[in-house]
Amino acid sequence: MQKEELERLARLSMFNLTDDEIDSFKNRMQSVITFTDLIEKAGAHADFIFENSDNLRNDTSCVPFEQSDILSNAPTVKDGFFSLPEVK
Amino acid sequence: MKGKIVRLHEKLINGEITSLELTSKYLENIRKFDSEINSYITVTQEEAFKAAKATDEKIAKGEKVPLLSGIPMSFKDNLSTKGILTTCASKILSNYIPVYDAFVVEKLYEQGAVLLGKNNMDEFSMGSSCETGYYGRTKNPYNYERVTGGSSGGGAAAVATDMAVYSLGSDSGGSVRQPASFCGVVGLKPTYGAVSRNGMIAFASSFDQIGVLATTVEDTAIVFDTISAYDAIDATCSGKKRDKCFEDINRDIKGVKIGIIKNLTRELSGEISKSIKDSCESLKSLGADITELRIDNLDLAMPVYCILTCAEASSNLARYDGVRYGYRTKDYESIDEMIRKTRSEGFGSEVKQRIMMGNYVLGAGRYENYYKKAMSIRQLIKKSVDEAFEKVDVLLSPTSIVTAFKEEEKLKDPIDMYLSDLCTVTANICGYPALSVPCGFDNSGLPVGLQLMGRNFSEKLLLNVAYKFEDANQIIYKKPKGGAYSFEI
Amino acid sequence: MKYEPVIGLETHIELKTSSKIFCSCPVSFGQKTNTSCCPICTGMPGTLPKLNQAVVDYAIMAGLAVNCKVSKVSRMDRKNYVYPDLCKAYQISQYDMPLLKSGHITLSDGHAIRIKRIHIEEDAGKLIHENNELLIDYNRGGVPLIEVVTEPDFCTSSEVKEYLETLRLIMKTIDVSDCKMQEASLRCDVNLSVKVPGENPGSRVEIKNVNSFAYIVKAIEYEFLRQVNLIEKGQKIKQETRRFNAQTGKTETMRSKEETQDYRYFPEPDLPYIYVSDERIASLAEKLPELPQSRIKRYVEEMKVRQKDAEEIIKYPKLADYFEEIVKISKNPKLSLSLMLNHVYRNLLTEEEKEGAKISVTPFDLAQVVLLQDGSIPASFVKTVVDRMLKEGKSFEELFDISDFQKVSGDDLLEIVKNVIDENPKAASDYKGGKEKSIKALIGLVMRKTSGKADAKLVSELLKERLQK
Ligand SMILES: [Zn+2]
Repeated sequence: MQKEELERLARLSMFNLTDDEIDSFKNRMQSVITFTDLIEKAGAHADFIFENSDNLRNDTSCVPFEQSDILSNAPTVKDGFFSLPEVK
Repeated sequence: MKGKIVRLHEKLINGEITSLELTSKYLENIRKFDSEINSYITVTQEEAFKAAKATDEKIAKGEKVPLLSGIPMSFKDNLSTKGILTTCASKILSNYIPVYDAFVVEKLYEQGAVLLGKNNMDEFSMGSSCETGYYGRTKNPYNYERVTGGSSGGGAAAVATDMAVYSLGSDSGGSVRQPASFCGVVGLKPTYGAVSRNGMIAFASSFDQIGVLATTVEDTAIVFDTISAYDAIDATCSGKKRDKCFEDINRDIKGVKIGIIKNLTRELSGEISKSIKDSCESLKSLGADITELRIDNLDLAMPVYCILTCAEASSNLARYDGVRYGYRTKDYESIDEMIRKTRSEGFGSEVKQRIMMGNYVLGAGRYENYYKKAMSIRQLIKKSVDEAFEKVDVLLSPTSIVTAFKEEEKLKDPIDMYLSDLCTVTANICGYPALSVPCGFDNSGLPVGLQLMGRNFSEKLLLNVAYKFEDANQIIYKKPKGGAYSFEI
Repeated sequence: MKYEPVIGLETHIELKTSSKIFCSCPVSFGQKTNTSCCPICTGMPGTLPKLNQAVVDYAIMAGLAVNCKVSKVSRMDRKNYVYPDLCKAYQISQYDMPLLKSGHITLSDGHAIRIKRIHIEEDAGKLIHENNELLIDYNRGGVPLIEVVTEPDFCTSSEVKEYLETLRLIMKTIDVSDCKMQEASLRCDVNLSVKVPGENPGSRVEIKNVNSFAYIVKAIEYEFLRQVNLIEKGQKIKQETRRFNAQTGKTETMRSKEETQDYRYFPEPDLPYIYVSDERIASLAEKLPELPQSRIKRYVEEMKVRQKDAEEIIKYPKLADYFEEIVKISKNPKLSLSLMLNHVYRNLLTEEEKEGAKISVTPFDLAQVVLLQDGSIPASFVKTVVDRMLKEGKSFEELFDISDFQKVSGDDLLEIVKNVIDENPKAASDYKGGKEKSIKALIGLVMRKTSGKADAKLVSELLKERLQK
């Protein structure tokens, strides 16, 4: 696992990593990847699917939630919107 | 062996004790011992008293109340409880208060369950030791220097120490069974699709299943019967009719074919090996037909689990961005920076690592070799297990190849931590039901668990076998060393 | 010309189901912010999607209408990218197992545009940037969409325009979408590259989210010239994603290929595979109404109306339905169609009234006018009659007395006009000589002879016509 690769993964994952984190993650992830490489030797088969026939809902609408409930956990709100102040 | 729930229920309706008194006793235990054990993130005393009073009023009026009415219990902190903090033991949800109840929460409230609080866990269920959470580690009641196992370690410890009669946890690779085995309680992971996941905060969607922790098999069966039902909201929840497991749980197990998984029992330490051998003898004497068999490809189970759960988790946890709920960082100049800082500050390192691992195996050019390959091996493993189920009804192994390990012992090596779930992951890979039942102690007095795994929707048989086994081996119910917490009920 | 554009289109069409694709919140437009929302469509922890049957059905109908094959087995996948309008940080869409495959739409010149696939997916929420503040409304989040993806088969912007108009008309005809661009219920991404004949096309540029037909044409024309210019200068075309700026009429870079999103698609574990039976496909095919192209053909061949008129009326499928109802009673397609196009259209003031065929009287009522027009009411009365009927929402009989028309209309009235002119040669010659006022006397005489029941304006017209001969 290269440092650049780890930085790319951090970007994809939306993390800023400190140098210490990069060092420690590099080794730990390398060992996990080496471990998962075990699967290379196994032959390929059909994909795994749970035996669950399709399970669809009827197109009926219900009364939605109150706006105040939907927004109740938001760190900031404005005029019924979720908001994020101070961004360019 | 009679469980606590039936005994307490009888006392409640006989008027020997009120739910309020019972609830107070459990809360008192939590007050006395949980500052040390740390099995709860949130204690919901007010709600508990309210629910207890409601049951007491019904009983006073002479109304018939269900078995679970007025019985104090707890939820793992990844189950949505309306109006009650639900954190997943993560800083990123440290202020999150759901506006809806999980399906199982609703089901138990309907029965009059008394919620004592929300249990500690590994952050977002990612761990096998209950050490990775934002609220600190939970200590094993048998030995404080040991881990409870995880990720549902808080619930297992609470149930083991009379801080809850039973608890609901979740199990994605062993997260109910392994802590049950480490803490000397019963743990059931139901068939995938038996219990609705609606309201359980996802770790790995195709592995996660809500499970039950209790001190006896009978209690486990009663709770499972209550939560196992079709839910139209969860598209992966089965519409199949459920057998009632509590009914005739005491029936004979003569002729039930049990297969010992040879490749999971070969390299056991002497003590665990002896417990398992004794258990097999005991089952044999109860009339079960015991054979030994090998299941191919089990060595691939852990890598497959690792790839697929990380992949699903990386996507499931991408929504925690500080926009709609949960923690948000203070200083930022752009949307992007806000999200990055929030996630960097809000997640612990185990979670970060697994998310990055997930993005690695799903990434352009890797999907085929990792995710897709792992999916096909998942099918291969299921095929191998199915072949075993052509010969036997139940597969037997230890729940874990080790007993509760020392704190931080396995945090250094991620593979070592993963391997503590070696015996349990297969059930999640296949979606099959499995349970852990206490079967003895090692030399240092730490509990050992016996795992039974069955075909889809065979919980009734598994609980029946476990019940008979438990009944025949009552001696194993030795309270934790510091057993001061237990009280006579 | 030395260069040819190679154009492909991805069209997102909002389906008009009553509830969202994965939850039961109502699909609506213009609601108060975040009031058509629930924990599921705002991505709260622990929530699960459940697929709406109608979304699958509508998509299959859309697919059948453009000659697609229905996949017996398909599945939903997660398309992962982080942006605040996407509440789960992944969009549930379809990747390698779409619901519909390989269809086509044939343009008027016979050129078939191949449709590679149609898949179902959820829409994202709406973002507003306002004074350094980001505002988010998730009402639109979870609204069902189909994405119709063509092969790169277009050679000109006018082909693109015709394809889009046809596609929109088909979707409106089968009633699975309103296809209103101003409500973003139809949106397009354009893929464009430039090809020198005999060579492989150059790098592909994607233009995202162009939201009107006129802009699409402009964007294509601008982008083609931009690429040709670069090639002529000997520069390479960068593979990238661009956006169309409506103010400048130009396309501009959104992100380059290096920054291209890695969407990390994988099967949605929260949803089972979608299985569609032959019976289901057959019953949906049965529900499909007649499609625009075959409708035009039928009108022209069987009803003998002009192609142009047929094309005009089927633009509004409900008006075409209404028209056919009139024909059933009047048995006169030509006159019925002219009644619709010349008189009824005028009374439908907004697009919405036309779309909804909001006509205040029944087809039976208007068919009576067609029947009467065939002899009893003079053509010049029809305008007045229809206008009054539609304005007051009353039938002909409620508003008029047919005998009045019979007494004074048609040949009778013409006869009276003729007689009055003959009997008053002075007034007639005065008028011819330029004394326009003298016509008033003649009108008065005609009115008297008809006991005042004739239409004065009509009488004046008939007199003028007669006198000019
Ligand atoms: Zn919703």
